[in-house]
Amino acid sequence: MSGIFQARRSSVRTQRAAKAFTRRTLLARTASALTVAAVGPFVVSRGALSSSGELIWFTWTDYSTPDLVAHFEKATGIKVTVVNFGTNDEAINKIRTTGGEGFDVMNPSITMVPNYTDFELMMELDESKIPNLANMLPAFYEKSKDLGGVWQGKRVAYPYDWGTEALAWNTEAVTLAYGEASFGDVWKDEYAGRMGCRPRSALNGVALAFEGEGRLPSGSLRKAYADADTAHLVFGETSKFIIERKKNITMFWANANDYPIMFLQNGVVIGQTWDGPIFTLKNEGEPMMYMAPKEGALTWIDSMCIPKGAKNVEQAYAFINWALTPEVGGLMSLTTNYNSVVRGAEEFTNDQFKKNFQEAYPGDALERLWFYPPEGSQYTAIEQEYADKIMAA
Amino acid sequence: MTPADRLMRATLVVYLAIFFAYLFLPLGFMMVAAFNDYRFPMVTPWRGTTLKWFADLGNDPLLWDALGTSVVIGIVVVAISLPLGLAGALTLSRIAQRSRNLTYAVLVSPVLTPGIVIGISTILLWDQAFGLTGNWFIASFAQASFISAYAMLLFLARLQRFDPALEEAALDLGATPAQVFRRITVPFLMPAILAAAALAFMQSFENYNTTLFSIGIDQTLTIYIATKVRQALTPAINALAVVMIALSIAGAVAVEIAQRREARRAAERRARAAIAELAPA
Amino acid sequence: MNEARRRLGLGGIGLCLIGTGFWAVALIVAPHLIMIDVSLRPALTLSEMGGPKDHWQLANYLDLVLDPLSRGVFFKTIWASILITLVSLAVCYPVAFYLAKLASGGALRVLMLLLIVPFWINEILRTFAWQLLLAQKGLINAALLGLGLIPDPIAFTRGHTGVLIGMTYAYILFMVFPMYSAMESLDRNQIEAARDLGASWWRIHRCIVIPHAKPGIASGCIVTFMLAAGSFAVPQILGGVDSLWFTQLIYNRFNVSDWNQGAAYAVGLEILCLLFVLAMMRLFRVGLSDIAR
Repeated sequence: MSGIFQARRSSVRTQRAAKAFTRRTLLARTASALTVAAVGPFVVSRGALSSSGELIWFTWTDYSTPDLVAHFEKATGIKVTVVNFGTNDEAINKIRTTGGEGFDVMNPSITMVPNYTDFELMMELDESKIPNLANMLPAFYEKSKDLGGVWQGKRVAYPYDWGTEALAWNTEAVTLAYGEASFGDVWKDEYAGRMGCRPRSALNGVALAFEGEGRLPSGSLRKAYADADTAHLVFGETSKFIIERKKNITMFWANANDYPIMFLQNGVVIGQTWDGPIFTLKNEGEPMMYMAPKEGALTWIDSMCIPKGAKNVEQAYAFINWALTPEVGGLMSLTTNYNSVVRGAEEFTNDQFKKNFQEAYPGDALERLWFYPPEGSQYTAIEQEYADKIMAA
Repeated sequence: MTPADRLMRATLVVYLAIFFAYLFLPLGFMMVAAFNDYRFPMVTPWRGTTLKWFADLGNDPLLWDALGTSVVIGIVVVAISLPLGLAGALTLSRIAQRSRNLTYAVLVSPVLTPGIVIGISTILLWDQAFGLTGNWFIASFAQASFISAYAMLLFLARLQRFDPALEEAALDLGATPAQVFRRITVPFLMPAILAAAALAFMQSFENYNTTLFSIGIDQTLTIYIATKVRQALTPAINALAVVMIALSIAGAVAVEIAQRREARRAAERRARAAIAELAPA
Repeated sequence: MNEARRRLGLGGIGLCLIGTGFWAVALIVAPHLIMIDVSLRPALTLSEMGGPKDHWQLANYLDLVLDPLSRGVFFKTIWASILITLVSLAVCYPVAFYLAKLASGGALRVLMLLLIVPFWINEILRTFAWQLLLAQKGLINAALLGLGLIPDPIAFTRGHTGVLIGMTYAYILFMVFPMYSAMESLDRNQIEAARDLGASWWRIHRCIVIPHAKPGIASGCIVTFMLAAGSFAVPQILGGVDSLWFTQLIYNRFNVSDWNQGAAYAVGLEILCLLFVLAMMRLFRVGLSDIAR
């Protein structure tokens, strides 16, 4: 039985394989050959078929818009196969089960990249092959190093886009002003039965509100990401606050598909949500507004990485270079409602996008963005533990 | 029919009407929303009638790929689960004696294993044994491990009402076990076989948890839809539902017409044969 | 064994055993062994693997037993699954009976079609439709408000009602088909004879139909219970702020990359559900021999 779970230990396995050409290996080989012969063409992996002009792009469902794919294929002559994931966890589990094979370029959140590098699933990136890095906003280039982009001194991920989680409200029922509005506002009793949030990020929002009020020392949340004891302390406090106000919550959202249901059908007037999907509601003419609170919007960066088993590495670099042009950055913003990390990308968006952006980040909001720190699996587990507590309460 | 019988029947018919209303409520809702000129799949506010979601559907090659994969996996799962389920049912009902309880427990256990675990454990097994990463073929096996159990339960329920005297009689008359199986057991099981095939295909078609982990880079329709919820779904998905409902009804009606035509032909043949017998040579 | 040999032939026995053996070993036991191995190990990073920490231990299981949260969620899931099974049985029994014994050939085919068509649509899609139907401004609340039956909208999806409605819906076929299969083989004359002798309908069901259909009822209940206890999509979408399913806990463990703990929870759920079902079968005197004869 021991060692039966070897998919997770590819490097261990490789070492052992060299020494151990045992009967068991022979049996496995024979069985493997028989299986392939029996089931024939069905199990030939797609990677084996890919030629020089192909790229398998593993990305979020809302990233691979037909416009972007068409633009890339036209600009580079490379044929794209898109594979989608819906959550970071799903992507990690999938890469772990395939040992990093089958995908050429992918867009995990940069703070999740350590969860891949822990299992040595990402390739080191060669900066000399990415001349368009010069187009990246320097703040994101620098910031991304500490957020998970660099592992053991090696660059494994570059920023692709960014977005935030902050306050969303129905303008017919609620009025909020920048500089006063806080993550704590959604928990006011006047919104009882009319608010929505997501347990895991609500823990973060309340922690930032507590820091602002002095109920927690400044910097507590950032420290919680690195230190288990602090995490227990912070989330112990914030989960208690949330559980006491649980009757206020109308709906927990899990993804953006819940937003129209929450705000349009379930009578929710205020909540802590993502940005882009609220812009989609605004663009449909719904009376919605999205804005950063005084504590700073919770900010994520999604990255570009090349998994270790990638077959089309040159094409993956072509993709990264392509993505780092202002025109593509603008097209990405327009089709997905997320923000580009490329200098000058806004020139290629439209007035509606610029207006949404300015309303979301007025005043000094851009300087106050609160970037999610890298998530170790220990932190993720603790955060989930308290989220479970909230849900079970 | 006594008044009580009539009352019972009337109550049942009213109940069936309510039951089918419950069954079709979400469908009707989805179908109406498919024609609403609104970004979100809702019926209120009604922003006018449109066919644009059907056009969107046509312009989504990923979705059609995913649908094709779903259908292929569904067929493969039916092809694996029905024989395995039947083998299991026959083994339990006729062969296994002392080990019956244990065998039964083992064979139904996948039904209550959370799908995510079946998916992950299956992919680990195939990686270990054959060095294969996930694909739709492995996903079919992962699904078949629990779908076979549904098939088996249906077969067992039906087999339990089987009259062994029928087989005994045929065997006494010199039929081989294979003939008995084909001529007596299979026809008797036919309702259960059809039910199991329908159930197996549908279970495969809508499976999410197991497939997600065992399918590698392939995508089924369910996986495709589920990953789409990161952005709000559009009524294009409802349009797909309308197409699927229309196709399945059309298919069923075609089968029904074919059966009636066949029945009529058979009746005509019988009538002609009867006339031929009656007619003077 | 001799009887089996006479009825199936050696070849038939061989095929049955090969099929069952392949299913049991390759598709069930081997993956389970891997899962158990995983559940007994701590969550480790690559560098720790094969090291001193990489050995079997019971920590993941102890957590399931000792943590009041997981224990509580577990029992709530079992209780809710029982409730769903009972509601489903009550809803589906008349339908199965009508289909099996009262519907004529043509009507039967049409009703069967009507029964199956809704399930050609993805479970996830149907559940999203329910989420909108049951919303506070949804169609059902609008209808109830319009009829003056309720003063304020009901928050179906805030509590457990949404899950109950959605899950009963999702597993209708699993309840109807086994019952239909079992009832169908009941001789219609038996019912008519009892009726002619003056038995009430209630008595006919209690003394003739239910005993005859017991294996089908048991199969339907077992499958529905297990599906409900192992369901993920419905509670995830329709579950309100107060509803947490045990499968969601398992899922969350996998989501935070603690596969080992997740596997232990899964093994726990599986063993306890199986024990529960066996206990219920004993309580209601439904032997395996009733189902698997």
